[in-house]
Amino acid sequence: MMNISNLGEELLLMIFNKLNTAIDVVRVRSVCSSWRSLLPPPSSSITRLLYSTKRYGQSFLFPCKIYRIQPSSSNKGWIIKLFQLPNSSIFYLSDLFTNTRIPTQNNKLFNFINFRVFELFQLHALSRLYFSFQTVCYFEKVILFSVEGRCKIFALRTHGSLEVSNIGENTNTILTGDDGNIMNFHDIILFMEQLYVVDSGGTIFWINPLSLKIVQFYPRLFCGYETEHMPEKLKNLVEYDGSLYVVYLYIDNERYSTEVSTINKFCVDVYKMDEERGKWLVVKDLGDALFVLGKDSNFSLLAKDYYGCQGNCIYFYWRNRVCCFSLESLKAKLVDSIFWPCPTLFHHMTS
Amino acid sequence: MAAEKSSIKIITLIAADGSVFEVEPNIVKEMKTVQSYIDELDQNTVSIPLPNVFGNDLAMIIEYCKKHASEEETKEAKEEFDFEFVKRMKSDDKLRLLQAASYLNMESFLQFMAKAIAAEIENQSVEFVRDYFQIESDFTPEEEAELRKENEWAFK
Repeated sequence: MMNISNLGEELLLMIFNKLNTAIDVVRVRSVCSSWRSLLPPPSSSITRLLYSTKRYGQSFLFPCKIYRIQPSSSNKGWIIKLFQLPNSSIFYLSDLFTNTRIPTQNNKLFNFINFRVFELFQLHALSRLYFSFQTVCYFEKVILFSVEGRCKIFALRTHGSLEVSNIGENTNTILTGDDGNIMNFHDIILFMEQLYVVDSGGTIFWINPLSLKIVQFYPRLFCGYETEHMPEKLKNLVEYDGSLYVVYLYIDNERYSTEVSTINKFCVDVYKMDEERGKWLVVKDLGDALFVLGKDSNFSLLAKDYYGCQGNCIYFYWRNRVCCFSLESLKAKLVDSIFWPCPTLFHHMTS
Repeated sequence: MAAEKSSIKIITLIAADGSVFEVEPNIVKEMKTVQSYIDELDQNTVSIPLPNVFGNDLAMIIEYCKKHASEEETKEAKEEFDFEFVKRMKSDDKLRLLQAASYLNMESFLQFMAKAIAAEIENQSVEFVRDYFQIESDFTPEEEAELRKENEWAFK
């Protein structure tokens, strides 16, 4: 009979070829010397693409990755965001909400050989500098999207317009409506391999990636368009469990006059499309899920997978603080460093 | 020749433990090892011994082939089946089925099993992968040092 522990090179390579991430390749190479010689190390070259606009000049598109790191003996982990510096094996640990470097981990190492490392997703952010990461403040979000073999960059500016350019070209197109006027958006998301944007009125549009025409995708969501004390544009798109959610973050008129501290004035409404009826549903309970309105992307997590995270909550950033709004208590509170990994995981560099 | 082959009604597969399976010719099309054996014979009934495949595994493979050979089943139904099929397998079932698929020379089932095994070791620790494949670490101290570097993120 066959021996399970000896699959043979051909079958092993067949399995290894199905691995999707670089971190999985590193892991397989760490099993034994024959496996190590069977599989080459993942390529570590980081490509930074030049992105230039007439108005803001040159910047560089940096890839970054979000991981969950989890001790192999535990069923919970921490979420971390990493930028790798070009032409080196040096990493930045950066803040999920601001992209600023987390300084406490400087000159330290994290060895993940005894950890489970989940590569959750890859994002892109614009940097002022080529050799290190420095946020370009006039861009909210950047999404790379390939269409018919060409890669396009969709960059949402802080003031709301959406700039589209082909990689390697200097010209940009700014998205306009049918009337030729520039459209402003609050958020952009890649959902089910398509691009969607939401405007200030809560209408979700699908972007045709070829013609760059926008098409209304869902009926308009009437939510607090005229709120007096709106601080910012705060309609956010989040994907959770295969559905698209709209998270509307605002300062409540009633709370504005009664509450003293600003954090208590915040309200969050969550909506989800009922695909069958074509109607928006108000979501009162997210169960164990939490939504993170991060710097380069919004995403959902399950509280059971992470230390220090609370389910049924929306985490957002406001005036240099991380806030957590509970859909149960309907109140926001300030939270500290919940997405920062446990400092004891990091070791000083010895050499 | 073609007419003779199509006259075969039933194929008998005999697993390593002696259990016997009678299947229709379209079920074994995916098993190239079996198919080439049949092609060489011109008999109406064929009985093929498969000394490298256990009865339990062969039963599962035949179940998979039946579902995928069926023209009535929708793509979605087949995907749903695949999902449940993997779910009820234990880890060593997967490794055995991969080897059986390789022996029977079943290209698409082989890819399917490789994917299922890859999914099992994804995001796991190195120790888990060693246990899964029953492998012991055999690195030299030099390799160990190299390995540590590879499994590290250095923060500046």
